[in-house]
Amino acid sequence: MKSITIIRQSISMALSNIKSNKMRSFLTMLGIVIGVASVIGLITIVQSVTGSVMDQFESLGAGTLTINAQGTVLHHGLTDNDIAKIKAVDGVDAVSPSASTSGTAVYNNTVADAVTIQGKDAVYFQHNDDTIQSGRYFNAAEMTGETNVAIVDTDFISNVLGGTSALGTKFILNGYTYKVIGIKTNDSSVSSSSSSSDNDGTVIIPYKNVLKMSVAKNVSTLEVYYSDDVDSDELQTRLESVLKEIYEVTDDNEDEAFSIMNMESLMSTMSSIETMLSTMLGGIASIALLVGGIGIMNMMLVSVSERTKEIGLRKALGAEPSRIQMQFLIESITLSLMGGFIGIVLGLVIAAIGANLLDTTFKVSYGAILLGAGFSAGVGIIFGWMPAKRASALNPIDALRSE
Amino acid sequence: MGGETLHVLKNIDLTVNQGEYLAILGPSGSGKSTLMNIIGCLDVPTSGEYWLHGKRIAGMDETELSHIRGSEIGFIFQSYYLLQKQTAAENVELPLLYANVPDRQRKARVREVMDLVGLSDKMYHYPNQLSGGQQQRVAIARAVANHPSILLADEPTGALDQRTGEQVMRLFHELNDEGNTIIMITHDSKIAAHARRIVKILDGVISEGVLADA
Repeated sequence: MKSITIIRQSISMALSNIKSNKMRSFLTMLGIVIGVASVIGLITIVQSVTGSVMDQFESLGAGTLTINAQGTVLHHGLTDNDIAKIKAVDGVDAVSPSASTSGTAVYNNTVADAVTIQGKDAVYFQHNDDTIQSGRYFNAAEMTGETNVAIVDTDFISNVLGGTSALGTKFILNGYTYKVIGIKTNDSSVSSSSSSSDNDGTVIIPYKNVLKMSVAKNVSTLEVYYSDDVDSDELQTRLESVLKEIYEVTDDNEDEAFSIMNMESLMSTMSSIETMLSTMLGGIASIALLVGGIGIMNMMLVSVSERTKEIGLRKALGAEPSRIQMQFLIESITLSLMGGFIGIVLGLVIAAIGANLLDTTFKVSYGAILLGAGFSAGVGIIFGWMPAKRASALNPIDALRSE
Repeated sequence: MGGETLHVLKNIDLTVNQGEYLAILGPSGSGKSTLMNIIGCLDVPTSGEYWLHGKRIAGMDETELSHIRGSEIGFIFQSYYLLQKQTAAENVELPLLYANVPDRQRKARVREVMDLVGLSDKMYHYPNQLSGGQQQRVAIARAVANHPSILLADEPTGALDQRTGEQVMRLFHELNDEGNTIIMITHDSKIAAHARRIVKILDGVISEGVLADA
């Protein structure tokens, strides 16, 4: 209770002193402002950039390995038998083959010849349940390649189907009549080719239907789903050995036959790059903070020598040395915290502008804010200590006599 | 600072009783400031003893001395030494703050002593809005605020004209009549004559002077 009162009084004394030396306090604070703003700004920009890249990765599939298997001349793509072998690998939850091509769609009098056609299977939608905004996805009976059902995106609806309510609409795709059973959610995070103006939209149909349209007999892309408790790197190794068996290739030429994309390991690489960049840039920016701290120390020393007589008087009136020290320490902490606060705000503004220029999503990093506040308080303590100690050690007689 | 010790005060033997009004009279360089510093616990004697209110002052450290100053001594300086950026009331409050007197009691005591020196209408004035005499009265209010054992005044009228000086002297008499012990250091024998007992100091040696008319 007593010490709370003392601290409260010291803070109000500190504020009135800062107020009565506005210009000097502001210039001193500027060092801390610049230091904290650059630390916060740089770290926030790095985290925003890496964060939005990570979000894209995540939307492409966390918990997913993607196998790209062109195969060899003798063994092209992945047969149903190969897919079954992969599905049997330890740690695999499910697999989802996919294929893609492009084609021409006709509806009423509209002919669109730049339609992206993606082939998926039912499993894909089970693992990406936000893909459909209305309607439904394929059921097992529709996966045989004999049923012509389609899921379309909003671009396709507006470009080809004339913007009408699309569910149940029938249109012609590469010569076959398809019925719309679902509408795809707009993809905001992944900028795909569908957003370019010369594309008429995307149609998703069962993958066997795609294989029927294109010349390929087998799928060459397979998404492998696994649960959280499976180590993706180990799973990748197991899959590689199975694929090497399927294609009868060795380590030397496996790259030509297949490749596995592991989002999780890409993401962990990305996050370690982020940590390294943050640390490095933050470290460079803290040099500005150090300079700011020296500025605070300088101002506090000037303040102590200017107020020597006041210190002497306070001592004559019964102020303990520790109380004088506390008063000056709190003054320097107040000063640097004020600078720190302005710096945090400024840093976030800089980061928001930077994120905007770099075309990424601005993310407030609470860690960086905490770091900024902690740094500035620390600077106040470290660089205020010596001047405060000096003030507390003044001899009251000499102090009172000084002019 | 030379390594040689300069003995400013020699063979001082002085006893001051509670309720006394004592003047220490001496020219500049006589050692009266050093004597004041020792009485005021701003300094400790290099040799010898100083007992204040049953406490041995020699040998105390800075923190202990600050406690003694806060509770036992009320300083009144020639040039008032008021903090210019604080109001009269805030200045008077300082010794009570350092003595950790609770909020409400502190405010009440400030009002009381401002009333005592006749400045209850100037509580929220800043020192530069007050005349010299008023500033010295604020300083006196500050000195008595924490009920010290000794009011220690160093040339209290030195910066005042004669008329205001007289007013301050009258205030001193009133305070002494109420039981406050006053020790006044001065070079001016006319001022010293206000005290009830005078001690002369010359070249660090004291001699008991004539008793002033009460």
